[in-house]
Amino acid sequence: MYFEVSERQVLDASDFAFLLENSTSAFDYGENESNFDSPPCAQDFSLNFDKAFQPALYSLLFLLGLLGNGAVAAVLLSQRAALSSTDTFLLHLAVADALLVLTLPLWAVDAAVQWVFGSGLCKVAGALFNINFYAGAFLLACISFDRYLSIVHATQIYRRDPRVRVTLTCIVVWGLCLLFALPDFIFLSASRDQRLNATHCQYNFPQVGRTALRILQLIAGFLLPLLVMAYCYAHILAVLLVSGGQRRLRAIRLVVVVVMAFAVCWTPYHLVVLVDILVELGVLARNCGLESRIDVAKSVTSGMGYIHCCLNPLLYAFVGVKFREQMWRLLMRLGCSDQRGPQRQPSSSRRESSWSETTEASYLGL
Amino acid sequence: MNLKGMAIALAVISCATTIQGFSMFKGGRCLCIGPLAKAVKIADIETVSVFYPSYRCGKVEVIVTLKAQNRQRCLDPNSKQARLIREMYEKKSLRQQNM
Repeated sequence: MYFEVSERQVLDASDFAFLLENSTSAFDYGENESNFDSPPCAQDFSLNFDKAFQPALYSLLFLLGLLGNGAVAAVLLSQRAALSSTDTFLLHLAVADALLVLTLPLWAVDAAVQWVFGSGLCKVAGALFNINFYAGAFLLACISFDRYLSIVHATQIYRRDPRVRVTLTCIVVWGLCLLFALPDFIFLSASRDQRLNATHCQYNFPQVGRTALRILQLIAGFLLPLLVMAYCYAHILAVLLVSGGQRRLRAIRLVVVVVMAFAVCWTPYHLVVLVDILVELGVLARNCGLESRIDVAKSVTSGMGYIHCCLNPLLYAFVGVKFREQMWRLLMRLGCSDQRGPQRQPSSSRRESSWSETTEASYLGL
Repeated sequence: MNLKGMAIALAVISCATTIQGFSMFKGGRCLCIGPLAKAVKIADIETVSVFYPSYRCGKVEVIVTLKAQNRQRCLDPNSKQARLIREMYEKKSLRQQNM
């Protein structure tokens, strides 16, 4: 076992007095001591970048994400009785995104100063972040699969007994994410990092097999959901292209945008992680400049990934005409709560249609 | 699919999720990646820091700050001089912890 020190400590000249006296037994200074220079890497650049960049981006995303996803959740909850299966997934997605951006202020403080919230909050915030990161990816895959079934195969498995089946799917998704977050509860803690000379929320995970597991994460957390989405939406596109319909083009455009948004937001981050893995494996030569650039790139690209949380409400809900109408109705009700005007009850046809555009348009397409 | 295979797959995936490199779970990278010095002249030493293995860096690193121009150099942690320095470092740390 290694010797452990939590604080950065320094030996100074006074400590070497003893060594100086006894240094008659010469040390092996190596070949060319005077030219032999191996300065340690300076970490200031990436740390200073994070100090400015992360708090700014995270507070912006916190506001936007909470506002957008809050609006989606409010609208969908107000129509709870009339939600289609896609809408229910959307509601869960909004909750997942909102919970994820809820932890961002903590990480902003962590980047600006250090982790000042203790180990308990480190475990909770880290787990919450990861649960919702995975829930987001899985729910997007669920939405694409649900649309795929109803449009391509016209088997509306969720619509025959929507409550039970959708609830069951969501329980499975959240359960899986909770399971994935179990290691966060075990291994995350606020600990002093000697090299950064600050306390951070980090994993106390043994190094063994780390790289292999990171490659797996790339596959499970990104490629798999992306593949499911690409497969489902490609088939939906094929159906939409051959069928007629007024809003067909609009629906096709939306399908492309939805998949592109996920790919554009998350691909850069996973590419940077891939480079990082290559450096760790020794395929790319180690050097201070490259590592510092990787750290900055990781900071920027993971920020792009979090932007996706704020995009979901725009891509999935706000594009729907019906969604916007209902939101205005809710806002009006908030604005003039005392004068209770005649509120139109949802018509019976609403029960069958969805709040999201692509599914809605698909009825025209079919 | 059999139950055992699924359990293994789940366990591997759940471990994989802890390893992700989100920039928020930060840890210091290894500081010394170039060639390491075997020893430096004791009289030139201003200060020495010893770094122990962490989540991000699995090595012991000994960094010497020299009096001249405040230059820093990485010592080979297993050289004779570095071993002596580490011994002193650990003794000093223990002393401070017991105080």
